[in-house]
Amino acid sequence: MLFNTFNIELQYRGTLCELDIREAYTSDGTRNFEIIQGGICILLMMFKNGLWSVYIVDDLHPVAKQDTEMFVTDELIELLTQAIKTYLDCLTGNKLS
Amino acid sequence: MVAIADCVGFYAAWHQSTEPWLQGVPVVSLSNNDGCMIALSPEAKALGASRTEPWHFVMDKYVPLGMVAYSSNYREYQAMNKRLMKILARFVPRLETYSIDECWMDMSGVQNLSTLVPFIINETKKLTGIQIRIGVAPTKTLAKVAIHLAKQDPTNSFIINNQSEIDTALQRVAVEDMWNVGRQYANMLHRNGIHTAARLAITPEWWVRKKMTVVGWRTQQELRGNVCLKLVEVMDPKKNIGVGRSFKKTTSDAQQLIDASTFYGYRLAEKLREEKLVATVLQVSLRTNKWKVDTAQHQPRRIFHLDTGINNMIDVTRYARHAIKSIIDENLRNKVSYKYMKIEVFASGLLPENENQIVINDSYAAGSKNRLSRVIDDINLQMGKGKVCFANNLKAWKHDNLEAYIMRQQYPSPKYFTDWNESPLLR
Amino acid sequence: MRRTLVDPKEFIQSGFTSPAEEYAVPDLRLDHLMIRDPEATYPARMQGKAMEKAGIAEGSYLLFDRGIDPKNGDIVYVWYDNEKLIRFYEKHGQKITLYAATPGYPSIQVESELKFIGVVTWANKCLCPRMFPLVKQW
Repeated sequence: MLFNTFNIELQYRGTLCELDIREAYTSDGTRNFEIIQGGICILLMMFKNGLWSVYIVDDLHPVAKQDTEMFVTDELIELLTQAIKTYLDCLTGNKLS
Repeated sequence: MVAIADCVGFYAAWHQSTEPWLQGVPVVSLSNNDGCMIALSPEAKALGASRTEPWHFVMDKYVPLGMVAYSSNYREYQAMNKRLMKILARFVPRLETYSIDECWMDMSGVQNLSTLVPFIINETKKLTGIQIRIGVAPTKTLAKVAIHLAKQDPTNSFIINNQSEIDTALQRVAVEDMWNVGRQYANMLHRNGIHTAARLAITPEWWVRKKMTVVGWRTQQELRGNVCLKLVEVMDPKKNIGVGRSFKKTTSDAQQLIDASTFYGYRLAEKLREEKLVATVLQVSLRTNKWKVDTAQHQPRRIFHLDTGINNMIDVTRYARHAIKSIIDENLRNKVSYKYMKIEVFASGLLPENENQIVINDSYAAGSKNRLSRVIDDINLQMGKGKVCFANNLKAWKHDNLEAYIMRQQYPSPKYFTDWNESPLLR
Repeated sequence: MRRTLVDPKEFIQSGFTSPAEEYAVPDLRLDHLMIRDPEATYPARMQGKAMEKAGIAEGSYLLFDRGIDPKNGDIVYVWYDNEKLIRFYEKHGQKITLYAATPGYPSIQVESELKFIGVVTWANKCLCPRMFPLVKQW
C-alpha cells in the first residue's frame, strides 16, 4: 500500500493543535485519511463521491478513546475536512474531487 | 517501591516551627538582601502571593493582611534540614537527599505502607514541628506524580501501589505538572493532544523518542512502572562553594575591599570545614555594577591553584587578601579606580578532607593551622559567631563596619541551632 | 589441609598495644549524658523565676526533647495564651493544669488551645561566670 503523509496545524478551541495525516491509496476510488495525534491514529476519514464519513478508531486504549471522544466535535471535523481539501488542492497535484 | 518526601515552603516552615505563634499565620522567607519571596507557607500562598515577587513592591499589600516576612537564615535552614534527613533515615533502609527540602527513600520490601507513611509524617512533625508530604510509587517519576496528588490529600500522602492505581492517578495529572517535563515539551504535548500523564504513558514509544529524546522516553517508561532512575545514595560532594555579596554602596576604598575579602575568606573556610571538604582552587573576584552602563566596568579576578587542599581560615583569608591587594596594586599602577559592587570568594577542585594530598614538608604547619581553625570553630559555636577571629578580620566583625558589606537583613530571626545566646526564652 | 595463619596485624602490633586498648570506650561527653535523641533535642533558656524552686534559676540553659510524651509531673515547654511557658504538667481526664514551682505564680487551668512542644530534660546553670565571660549573664 502506498502512503502520503503530511502535517497540519489547526487553531482549535483556542489552542494550536498539531496533527499528522496519512493518506492511504486504495484502488476503488475511496480516499482514506488517518488522523494521527501524538503518534496514535485516532480518526479515520473517508472521502467518496464528494461525501465525507468519519470514524473514531475502534481499538484505542481507553485513555486515548476517552480523550478522542472529547476532542472530536463537528467543529473539528469541519476544520479538518477544509484543511485537508485546501492542502491537497493547493499544494499537491492530487486534488480532492 | 520508592518514596519522595518534601516540605511545603521549607524555609517558611522552619520559621513556623520555631515560633509557635506563627502557626496558621502567612509567613514568607526572603532571598538575599530581602529581594524576593523565596519560600511561602501555605497560608501565604492562600493570600495569592507567589515566589519571585519582589518584596518591596508587595509588602504594602500583604503586611496589612497579617503576612510576616523573615530574611533568609540559611545556616538554620541547613541545620534543620540535617535533622529532618536524619529522622527520615530512621525509617527506611536507604535515603537519597535530593534538595534542601526533598529526599528519596527506598521503600522496597515494606509491607505496611499505609500505616508506615502516616507514621513517618506524624513522627517528623512531632520531632521537628515541620509538616512534610510523602508520595510513594513503584518508580521515581510515579512517586513525583504521587506527591503532586498528596497536595490535595488531607493525609499529606499518596500511595500508588498497583497498575490500576497508576492508571487512575495518571489521569489526574497534567503533563506540565510532571517531573522532567519542561514547559517547552509540555506545550508540544498539548499541541499534539496529549494533556495528561495517562495519555503520555500510552503514546507510542517511537513517537516519544522522536519528539522528546531519550529523556522523554525514560519518563514514559517510568510512568509505565519500569524503573529507569535508581536511588543515588551518596550525592557527589559539592562541585564548588562560593561566598560573596553585594556591597550596600559601591566602593573603591582599598581598606574596605581588603576587609571584605578577609571576611568572606573566613566564611568560605568555615563552610568548607562544615562540609568536610578542602579546596585546591581558590578564585577571588570583584565586580562593578553592570547595570550602570555610564560607569567604567571592571571584573578583575585572581585564581590560585594549590598543591595541597586547604580549608583552614588562616590560609584561605591570606589568599583572599593577597588577591584583593594585587588587584588594588594593579589599579594603582594603571592609575585607574573603579566602583566595585560585588566581591566573591569561590572554592573549586573540592576534595573530601580525608583524601587530601599532603605535601610532606608542609604537613606539620597545615596540621596546626587546621587544629587552630577547629578550636576557633568550637569557641564560636559556643559563644556566638565572630567572638574569636583574626585581628585583620576584627574590623569586619565590629558592628558599625559590618553594615557596609553584609547583606541587608531587615527581618532577622534567631539563630536557634548555632548560637546558645539566641535560644528561645521560656518564662 | 588448612593452615592456621597468624593474623599479620596481630603479629605486628603484639607487644606494642596498650592493655587498655581492649577496653577502649569513648571518653565522657556531655552530649551522651544530656541528649537522649540528638534529632529531637533543642536548646532554650530560662527567663523569669517561675521555676526557681524546681532548680531552674533564671538564665539557665535548658534542653527540651520533642520526642517525649508528657506525663504528670514533667516539666514541659508549651505554647499557651501567646506565651512560651515552662511549667509542671498535670493532666486529669481532659483537664490540663500548668503549675509554676515558685509560690506566687498562679497555676493555669488550660481552657483554650494549648500547643505542647516538648518535655524539658535538663537545666544548666553556670556557677563560675568569671571563667566563662561570654556566657550571657542574667
